[in-house]
Parts: sequence; C-alpha cells; structure tokens
Amino acid sequence: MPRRSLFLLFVVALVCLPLQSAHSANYPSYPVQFIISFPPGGPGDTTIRIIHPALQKNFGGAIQLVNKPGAGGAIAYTYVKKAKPDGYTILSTMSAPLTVGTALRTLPFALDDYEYIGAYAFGATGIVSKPDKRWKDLDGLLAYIKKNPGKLNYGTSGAPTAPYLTMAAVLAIRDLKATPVHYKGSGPARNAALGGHVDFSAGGFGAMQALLRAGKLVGLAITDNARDPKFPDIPTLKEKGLGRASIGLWAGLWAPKGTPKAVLDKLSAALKKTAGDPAVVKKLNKAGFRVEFVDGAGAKRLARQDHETSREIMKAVGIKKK
Amino acid sequence: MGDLFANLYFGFSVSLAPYNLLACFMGVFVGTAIGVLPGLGPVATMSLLLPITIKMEPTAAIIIMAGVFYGAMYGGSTTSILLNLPGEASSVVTTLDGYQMARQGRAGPALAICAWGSFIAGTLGVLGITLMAPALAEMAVKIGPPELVALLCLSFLLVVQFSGGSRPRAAASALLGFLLSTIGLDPVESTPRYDFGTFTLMDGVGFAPLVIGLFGISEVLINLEKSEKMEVFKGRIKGLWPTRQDWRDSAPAIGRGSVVGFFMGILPGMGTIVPPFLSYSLERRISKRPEKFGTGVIEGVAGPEAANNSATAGSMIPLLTLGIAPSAAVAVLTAAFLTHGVQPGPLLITEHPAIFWGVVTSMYTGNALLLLLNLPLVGMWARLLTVPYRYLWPLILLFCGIGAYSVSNNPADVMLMAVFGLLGYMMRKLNYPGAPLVLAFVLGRLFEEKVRQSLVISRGSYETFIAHPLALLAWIASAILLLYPFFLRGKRTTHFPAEEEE
Repeated sequence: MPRRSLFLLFVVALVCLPLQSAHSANYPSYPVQFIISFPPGGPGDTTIRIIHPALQKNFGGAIQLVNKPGAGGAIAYTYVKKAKPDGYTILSTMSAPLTVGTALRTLPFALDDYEYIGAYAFGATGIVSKPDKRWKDLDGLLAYIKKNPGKLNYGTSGAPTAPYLTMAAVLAIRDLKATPVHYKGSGPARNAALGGHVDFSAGGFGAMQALLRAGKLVGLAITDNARDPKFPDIPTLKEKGLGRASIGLWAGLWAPKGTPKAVLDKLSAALKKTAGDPAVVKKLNKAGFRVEFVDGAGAKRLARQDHETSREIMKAVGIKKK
Repeated sequence: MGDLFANLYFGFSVSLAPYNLLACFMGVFVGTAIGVLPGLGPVATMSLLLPITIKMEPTAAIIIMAGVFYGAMYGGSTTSILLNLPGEASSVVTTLDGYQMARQGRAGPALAICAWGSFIAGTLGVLGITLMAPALAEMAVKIGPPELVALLCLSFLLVVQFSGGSRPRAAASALLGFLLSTIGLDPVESTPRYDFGTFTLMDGVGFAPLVIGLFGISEVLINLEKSEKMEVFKGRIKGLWPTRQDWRDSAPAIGRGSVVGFFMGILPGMGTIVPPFLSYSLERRISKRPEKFGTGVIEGVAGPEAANNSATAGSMIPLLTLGIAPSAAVAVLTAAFLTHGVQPGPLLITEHPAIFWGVVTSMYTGNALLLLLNLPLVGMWARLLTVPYRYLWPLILLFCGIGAYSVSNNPADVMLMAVFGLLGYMMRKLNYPGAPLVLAFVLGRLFEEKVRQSLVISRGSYETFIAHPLALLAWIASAILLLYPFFLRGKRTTHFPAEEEE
C-alpha cells in the first residue's frame, strides 16, 4: 500500500520536525513565531511591525508575527512562559504588562520567568492639555491645581497603566489633588483632552504627537530620560524634580526561561543590528519612539527598576494590588 | 471650490496610476472575498496583509488596506441573504429580510440591491469625506461622555422597536446582551467581573465568537435537524435583478441609510455594527407596511447595507484628519500608516497630500470597482443555493471556527463560539430573536463606560446628562419616541385598511 506508507512517512516527518530543530546549530530551521500581546495596531504591535522586515533579514530566518491580545497582555505572557524554550516562540511586546502589570495584579508570571533578549524602542508618558488653558507649562498646571484642589479632571489611558501611575505619582509627590477619568487607551484619553471633556490627559506620548505638531494640544511633560529632539520644548519629569514618577515604557523581546544561550545571542545580535539601521530608526521616530538598543542584561535591569518604581508609586498613592 | 477640484484632480492622478489602481483592485477583491466568508473579518485580514504591503509604496499600501476594509462591507451581505449567516458582524440585520427574500426565490434582487446600495452609500460617504472631513472630525471630538450616553440611549430606543416578533422576548434577549456585556474588566477601575479567573473572559466576551456562534453555528444546527434534503427554497429563482417596484422601495431607504451610517461612523465606538440596526429600525418606523418587515421586504435589506458602507467612510474621517481610530479596523489602518513612517493626523493633508488625496479618490474608484465586481457575481451566488446543504455545512463550520480563532489567535474563543452556538440554537428553538442581544451587547459596554466617565467628571451629579444641548436634544427625541406609538395607535387603525384596498 504505497499511499499509506507515504502518509506514514509524512506523519513521521511531521513528528520529527520539532525534534530535529532542537539542535540550535541549524537554528532557525523553520519560522520563528513572535507573540505580540497587543491587537493589530496597538503600540507594541506597531513597533515590531516596523522593524520586522529588517529584523528578519539580519536574523537570517523567517519570523511570523502572531497577535495574541487580551487580559492586558496576560494571555501572550502566559503563552510564552509555557512554550517550549527552543527559540521558536518569542515574546515581542511592550514592557508594561510585565513591569507594571505584575505590580498591580496577581498574575501567573513574573519578571524572572523569562530570558531577556533586548530592548529597542522607548516610548514615554506624555502629559498634554489644550492650548487655551490657563496654564502654559507643567509648573503652571501644578500651581493651578494647588489653588483649586480637587476641581480638575484628567484623562488617563486606563487604571492599570503606567501613564496613570505616573500622573498619580506626580500629584502625590507635590501633595495635590485632581480626579482621574480612566479611558480605554491613550487615544481616547488624548481625545478627551482635545474635546475639552477633561482638563488635561496622561497617556502614551506616541499617540499625542500628531496633534502636538499641529498645535492642537500642548505637551507639558514627558517621562523619558531625555527630551525628544522632535519636541525640544517639552521638559522631562526628571528635569522638574519628578523623576521618581517616571516609569519606562519600552518594546523588547523575551524568550521562555531555559532557551539556549546561542539562540538568545543570535536574536540579540539581529536586534542590535536592526536598531542601528537608519531607515528603521527614522520610522520608529515618526511613530513616536526613541530608538536605543539595550542588551538582555540591561533590559532585565530596566524591567526590575520599572517594577520597583510602580510598587513605590502604588504605596505612595494608596493603590492596592488586586 | 476650485481648490477642491484641483485637489481631486491631483488625487485621481495618483489613484488612477496603474500601480495604485491595481492595488485598489486587489484590496477590494480581497475585501469582497473575506466579506463573503463568514467569520473572516477585515481586522484579521488587514493585519495579515500588513507585512505584505510594507514593501509597497505607502500610498498603494494604504489604498489596498482601505480597499479590504470597505470591500468587506460589500461581501458581508452575501451569506446573510443566502444562508441566514452574517458574513460580517455589520450584516447581522441583513439576515432578517434578506434571507426571507432568498426563500421566496428573490436572492438575486436582494444581492443586487446590496451591491447598488453599497455603491451609492460608499460613494456618498466618500463625497462626505471630501467636502466636510475636517469640520466633522472637530465636531465629533466635542461629543463627550454625557452626550454619548444620551445618543446611545436614543439609538437603543430606536432599535428596540424593530424586532417584529414578541416584544417581551426581544426585551429578554436584549437584557441577556446587556448582562453579557458586563463580563470582564469593568471599563473604569479595571476590576475583573464574572471572568471565573480565566484570561479569556477577563477582557469580556469576544464579539466575534458571540456573533459567529449565535448566528453561524446555531443556523447550521437548526438546518441539520431538518430533513436531509434541506434547501433554502424550492422552485425557480424569480429573476436576478431588482424590478422597478424594488427600486422605488429601496431608493429612499438607501439615501437615509447612507446618511445615518455616515454620521454614526464618525462617533467613537459605534463602528459599522450599530448603524445598520438604526437604519433598519428607521425604515420600519416610517414604512407604510411595518408589519411586513421580517418577511422579505427589500428596503429592509437596502437601508442597512447602505448604512454599513457609508459608516466605513465616516469612520475614516477621524483617522485622516485627527489620527484617531474609532474602531478596531481603523486601528489597523493607523498601523499601516505608521509602518510606512507616515503619521495620520491634522498634518497629513499638508505633509503627504499625495497619500491623503490618493487614498480618498481611490475610494471612489474602489466603490465603482466593487460594483463591477459584485454585480456579475449575483447570478453565481444565487446558484449557490442549489448546492446540497450536506456539502455546505462542513465548510460553514470550518470558516466559523477560523473566524472565531483568527481575531485573537486564542483557542478558547473557539470554545466560546461553540457555547454561543448552543445558546443561539436554544434561542431559535424558543423563538427568541438574536439581533437585540448583539445590539445590547455592543451598546451596553459603551453605555456603562460613558455613564461612569460622565459621573466621575461631574463628581456624581446626574445633572451632567442634561447640561449639554446635544444631550438634551437626544433625550427629548427619546421621549418622543417612547410616547409616539400612543399617539399613533388611533390613527394607524383607521388608516391601514383603506390603503390595503387599493
């Protein structure tokens, strides 16, 4: 029965495929899946899609992008944590679910459940308001809140997000009171400020930039370490002595714990080369991200630092872990 | 005005360039195809296309993606009409009268009027973008949570009336929809509710599994228990094209549907799902034969199909002028812009005029292409009904499964789809309509979010809901709607018999 034996051969081949690939010498021998914890079009989705063609070339193998959104990233993080550490399932996303998420909630994954491959794109929290407000800058805003305690509303990108923690921390540090109105994401929070429904908003800086450039919104502060060259007039919180409120928001790559070092190094090297590609840098800048390659060990340090900052802010503001 | 023509001329010179024209055709072709396949939606398809389009010119890439988006609205009605199975969530309403038309052998006219209605609405929508995009976007942003609450309430009241059958059953179905919409993280404080500790339910019930299960799976189950020789209708297909009377009935419905869809599309959260519901209820409200709705009246197909098409045009406005994505599909379009290093927003029109005008004018071309593509297909689709059901249903199940899975690549969503399939089956058996559930589910989520945001902003004062003129207007309209049937009751009974005698 030749047909049947052919079928058996096919089955055997299918079964052997993953076995063979476990040898990292010929890695990658079939497409590597990058799991994205955001829906298509989300912040962590856009960054990887921008670098995807260049990364694939530098990596020398096919990379498949798979969106597994949901539960604030928890579905993707758990999926990768449980995946076989053979280098064929990689987590490609933003740091926040891991760093901020695990501080705010009890989740079945932690900072140490992953191998860190590297970080490449840095976002920031932006604090914005309309240009016709009584204040012109962050100091003006904070002084106005001081005179009108509890009167102002501010939009946030959501209760369990870094921009809310940052804004709450700024207010807590200066001992001020304003009411947060939580929206679903940075886009809606920005629109709330634009439409005048709230007095100012805190959300992902990338989402604000088109309207800032058009002069429809004014940037009061960002959380990044340095000013954005495209917006040299917007100060950082660090400059204002509010550095403790800054939580990093960055895109990186992670692998399941136990992934061979050779695999991690290969991916890390490809990511480093990609982050140095001027065309990639330009596109990421346009999308609102600063590009800098940070290696695995460095990314792990950043994650730990962001996690600690989140916990300190929660303690200071009085937010309980759920 | 002269500027406008110059811009349009410039735009067409971009979009009619052979390469861009080809891109436009590819986009609308793929869009029609995935629209026809139940389950496969524009969001999943567009994200699959993103890596392919990245090597193209930005203008061509956006044109192709936009083509998929509005092209899907054309195809979505096909299976709604032929198999009582919405090809897209936006075509749920089309099943009500479209399928009945198919059972009467009038699948051809139903499909043809969908193509024409979509074309007219799509073109009117693009005309809307061309003429008033920036002004409308600014206005849409001004609509805050309290106004949206009032508008949502008005929408719901408008739609509640439409399910022809028993009112209490429709209300029960809507109530179930509202309850389902409370599953998952609450929209303001992000506290998990009714998720049984699972991640899948943490974000709430997925919309795709709900709709596909409720309509697709249940339809297959119902049909399978009928005799083996299940056919949608027996007898001859009566004509493929709409008659003059069909046109007379549909033309005003298409016009009204276009307007409703366009303006609703601009609002955040409404997407392309709510407008068809509104159009249907509107048509039923003002029809001279409301009691015939649900038995295969053509305006009940034409209006909603027009509405979902002009809604796609409406939802492009916030994206092109403010860089705001009012729906998931438009969010993927945003990603397409960004992956090409183009930032959609107020400066798009001055920084990248070729992209802005190229994309806008490609939508005129695309709608014309879609009409040319879809009209010849009508005959073929109508003949699909002669395929024995035993060959069809395994395929339908397969596509339903793919559709539920492909939205989030989460296997649990397929299980969820199966559960809603059973629920849908029971509801069908007991004569509970499914459409009110879907609508309540969509509106419920948005309603809760906006009510709570309003109350946080107003520090708990309920006055905020009537403090804004637009909200007040919507409340007054709602009140009139509620009381209107009482005034009309006397008038109707005297009026109707006379008309029927004619």
